[in-house]
Amino acid sequence: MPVEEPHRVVCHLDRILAERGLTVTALAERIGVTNVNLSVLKNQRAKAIRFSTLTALCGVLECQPGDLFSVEEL
Amino acid sequence: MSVLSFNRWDYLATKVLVGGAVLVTAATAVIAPLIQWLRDEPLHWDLTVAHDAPVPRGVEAQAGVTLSGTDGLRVTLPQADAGPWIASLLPGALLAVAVAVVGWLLLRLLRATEAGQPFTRQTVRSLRVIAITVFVATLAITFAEAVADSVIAGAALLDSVSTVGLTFSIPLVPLAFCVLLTALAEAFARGAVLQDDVEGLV
Repeated sequence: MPVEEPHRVVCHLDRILAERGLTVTALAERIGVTNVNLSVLKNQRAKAIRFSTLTALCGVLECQPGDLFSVEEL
Repeated sequence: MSVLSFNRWDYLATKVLVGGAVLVTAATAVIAPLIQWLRDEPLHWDLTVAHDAPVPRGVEAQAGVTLSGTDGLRVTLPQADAGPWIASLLPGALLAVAVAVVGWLLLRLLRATEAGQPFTRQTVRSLRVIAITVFVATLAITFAEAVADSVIAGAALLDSVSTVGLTFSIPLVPLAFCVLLTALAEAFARGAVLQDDVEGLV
């Protein structure tokens, strides 16, 4: 699929936060990212994520990138 | 805090400076001469002559040194008609409009930078319009000054054609500034593309 086409990556952060009993604010404080940015990620408005942010998220949530993101089928 | 950083007081001072420059230009280039005209005061104009003027009386040179006059004449018309007054006001009016347009665009650019969003399409457009304004205004004002020289010389001198001629020299510094601004606009356009790429980056 050409890079110019819109992405179909879905973020499952809201489900994982609910499973862990964590709020966006608490997570943001623990990984050093702003509330706003985490909300952007949670609400499927993010276009890219830094590896450092991904590493921090997986570290705090004790999960793998594949648990956080998946690609929707067409 | 570095002495070279631009804090909110610097932004405020710059905005005041830009606003002040616009007002002062309008006041000196348009309003003051207009008031002189309405009060029937004499019209003063500096003419560029086509040949050297005589050396002022009382000025003598050391041995071996030669002197020649400058190529200017200060003309004072005690009761000028509307034609010379309008011709004399035109370069100043064009300058005031150009300064107002550039000032407004600069303030818009400053606001975007102050808000932390300098690399936007609007900023690129502002820079390009400033460059175009400076270019057009330089040519227009130079031409208007040549026309004013011709009109006022015609009203003031017995033989204006051979005394004044038609001098038209385009100043290079403003045009070089245009080129610089255009290059800066292209750099900001690249920045806007990068900004778009980073939009939504977590």
